[in-house]
Amino acid sequence: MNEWWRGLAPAQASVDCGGARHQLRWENGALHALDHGDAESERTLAALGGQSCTCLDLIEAWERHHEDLRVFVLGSRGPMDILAVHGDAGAGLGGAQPRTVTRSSGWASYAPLGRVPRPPVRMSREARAEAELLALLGLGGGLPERLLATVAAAWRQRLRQSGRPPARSRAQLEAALYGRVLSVMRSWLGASGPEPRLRMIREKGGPKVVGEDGYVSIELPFGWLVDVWAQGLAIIWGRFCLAAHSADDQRTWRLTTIGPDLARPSVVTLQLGA
Amino acid sequence: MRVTGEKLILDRGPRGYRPWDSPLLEYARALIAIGAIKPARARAVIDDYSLAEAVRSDEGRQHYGIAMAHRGRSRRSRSVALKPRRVVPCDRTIEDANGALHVRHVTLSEDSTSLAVTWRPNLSGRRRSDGRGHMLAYVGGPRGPVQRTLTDDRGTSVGTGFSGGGSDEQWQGHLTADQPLAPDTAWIEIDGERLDLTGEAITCEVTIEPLAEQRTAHAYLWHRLAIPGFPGPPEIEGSIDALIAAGALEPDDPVLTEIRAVRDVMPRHPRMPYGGRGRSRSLPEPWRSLLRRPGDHGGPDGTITLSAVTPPFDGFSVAISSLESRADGFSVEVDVAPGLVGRGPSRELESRELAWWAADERGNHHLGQLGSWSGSENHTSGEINFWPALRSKARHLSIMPTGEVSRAVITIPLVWAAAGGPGEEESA
Repeated sequence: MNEWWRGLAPAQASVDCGGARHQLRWENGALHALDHGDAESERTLAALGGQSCTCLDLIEAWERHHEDLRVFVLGSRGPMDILAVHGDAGAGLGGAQPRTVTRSSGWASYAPLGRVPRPPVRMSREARAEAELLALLGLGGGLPERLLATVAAAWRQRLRQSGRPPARSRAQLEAALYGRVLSVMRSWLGASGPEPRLRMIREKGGPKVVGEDGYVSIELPFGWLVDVWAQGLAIIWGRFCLAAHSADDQRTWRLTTIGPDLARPSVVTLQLGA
Repeated sequence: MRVTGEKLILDRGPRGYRPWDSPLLEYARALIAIGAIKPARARAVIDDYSLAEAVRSDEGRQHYGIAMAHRGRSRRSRSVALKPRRVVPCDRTIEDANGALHVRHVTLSEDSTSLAVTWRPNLSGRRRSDGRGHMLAYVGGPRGPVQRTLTDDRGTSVGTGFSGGGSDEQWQGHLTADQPLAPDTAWIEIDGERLDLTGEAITCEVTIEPLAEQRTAHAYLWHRLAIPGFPGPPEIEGSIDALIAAGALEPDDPVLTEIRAVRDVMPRHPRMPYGGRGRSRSLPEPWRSLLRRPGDHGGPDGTITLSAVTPPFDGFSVAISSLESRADGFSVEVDVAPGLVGRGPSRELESRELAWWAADERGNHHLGQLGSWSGSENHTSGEINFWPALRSKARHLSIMPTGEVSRAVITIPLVWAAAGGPGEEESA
């Protein structure tokens, strides 16, 4: 996979791990447990002692869900789409009451913890996956947004390799893109603006936005989620960003944008200072 | 379907968390009806977006767990043919210190015994009113019918349970025996008070008919339109969107214009004024005759006890035991297998539903909907309320529970009309 994370700032959240506040940090495309130097050893010790380690288990959960398309269904579509799972994700959902992450059972959730309780003995695979997802999406500190970007990047890579989405995932990919484009368009043109009609094109295809009779016809590749939406560049200077490319130094970005009049696209150049 | 889910998430503001009437359910059912998606796949999408909705509000998070737990217990209802029954009209009131129990009719079959009753408790010192409440499934209690013991001519005695609705002044419902009594018993005793079962219910002609062939998408929408929402006409735009998106309909299909025209003039409630007075002439039958008599209040008053059981059709079996006509409408007491459980996220997506049509020999149509009911996934006992009122000149009425490909036609002779006036029950 290419270095899709270039340009994305690090994100960090604190979790209660074994009674202490620990830091999880996402940087350069990976999630790290800052307070666990030797992760493998700690993992082994925790397993032997029958205890859980919230930080390490959240990292495992992240790895399990880094290509999970349900992240797009549950995750935020944009700043106006706020989840109510911060701080106690999992509580009261699906009959499961997860409070922590344990390696032994493989289930996870996020909650402020003073000590490490044992997980429910019986939990279906689906419920466990659901609880893990909600735990990750409840982390805060920008980590849920980075998870969305991670999943998008993984699928963009697959699409680049195969050329077209697998039939069983196509609807999910299109919906993931549609929901976020719709959210952006409503911010940009207003909720009562023309309805967007989206066509997901190949990764190498040329994006475009055209005003038609009462609606806006939009053609974007799935990778727009990685290059534009996840970078927070969807609307810039009141213009909709169709595509973003960075120069080799990753400090200069060329954005292909279009104004609300949907006339010819213009290039906006962004440069990060030294 | 997922695109609709995306809109649902972004539009959820004023709607709140209401998975029981999620637009995705209508959308999914339409796609399943035309074979465009398998129920399990549709259910997975609905579950995804139901959870996505739930995690966006505290209220949703509370309700989601309950909904999922309930769905976990839900099983596909079984299709079972109802057995023939003996329905005996009665008009007997048994009074004691607690009140008066009026027995309207007795239904006996191999697997159940029930009495259709009206209970008026003794309210000495309290003012009575004619108002009826809307409590349902009342079982025993200080003001309901006390538990009764039934005995048949074989000497078998059994207890009973009451289910029904009412108020302090009057309860209407059924006393159902804990065990079935002999179906051919000559009498039953209620706490020692004997009722001779000598009357005979009217026997009705029952036939099963296939529905006229038409495009699956059209048939689905017409069928949905005949199944009222809560309240008012069903929301069918989601179904239309789904059928267009799936290529089963064209947006400019002239039948869609007819369907929307019918939807637009349907009343929010059978007793409310119509929106389409004078606009029904251009509608297709049976809707034209249904909607041309706004708020008709000229129906006869009377009750007919009858015995009709259909063979299975469209996966259902229906039994009717009485018809009661009032000035503003009429109702029938029915048993249906499998059960007519409500719509909602816990209902199986592929579950079929019945539309309740009725028509007299003069071509006047009526539409019914489930009123008070009790039962389970496998069986429902309840009341179907029809509108508009019966025409006083009608001589026969056909009750037509209608599935997606066939319907039963139960033709009832309206004997009160032949007697020269309503209000008197007759046996054939």
